[in-house]
Amino acid sequence: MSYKKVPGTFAWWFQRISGSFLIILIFIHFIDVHFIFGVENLEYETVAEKWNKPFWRIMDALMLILGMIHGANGIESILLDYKKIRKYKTYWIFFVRAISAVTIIVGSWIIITFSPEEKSMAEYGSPAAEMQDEASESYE
Amino acid sequence: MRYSIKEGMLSWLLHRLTGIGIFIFLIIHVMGAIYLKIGPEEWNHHVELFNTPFFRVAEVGLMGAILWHGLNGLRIIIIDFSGIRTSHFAKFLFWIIVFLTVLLMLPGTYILLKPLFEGAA
Repeated sequence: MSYKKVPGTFAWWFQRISGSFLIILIFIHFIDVHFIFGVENLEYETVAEKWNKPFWRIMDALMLILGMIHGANGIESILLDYKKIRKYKTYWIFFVRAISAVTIIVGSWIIITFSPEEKSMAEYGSPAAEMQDEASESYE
Repeated sequence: MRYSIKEGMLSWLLHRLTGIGIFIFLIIHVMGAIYLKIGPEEWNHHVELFNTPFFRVAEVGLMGAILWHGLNGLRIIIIDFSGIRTSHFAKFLFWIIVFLTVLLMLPGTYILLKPLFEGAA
């Protein structure tokens, strides 16, 4: 089973190279998360401890970026097999790449900015709630 | 040269189906990780979901999809770069990865589903 080499030589090579890396990365990730920890032991502290080491953040970011581009590439090659989709292929490809890009951006943002010491978003509370608190305090 | 339609079609179809599934899973997986930024309690509540019988079984499905996609991808790479284009070789590799998938799924499924039968989930 080989895809056409002529129109997408770069995509063809990228799929094979990223695929090889992803086999290793996901193998480690799956064994680590599902077998060593197990889904019952994935508390916030576990993630914080793991991401304390830059090595794991880099591994996860690499997996995210390679995985999403590999996935977008694969979905595109499936879509282009359909005549009706080929007609509007620019839009379809844009759509798939946009989803992939948003996921990479959101995931990278989480990996880069995650810091357990920092006050979490929920703890800040909404400004309206704070105003209400102040109002009730002064009333008392 | 073309190799057997039966095994070839099946591996081709499974490769696409597992690929689409993993792609959709990955998007949901990353979006779920946003809970890490919302707060510790919210994240802990989110991961509790995975410790339910439904998600335990789904986890086995995810493992199977990833195993098949990865091993079949390796098969494609071997066929492409070995230069051996006989149907016999492609079929031989197909049955090897079927064997490997089953072989790895057996202990994997046991470990993932064990807590269900111990009443932990």
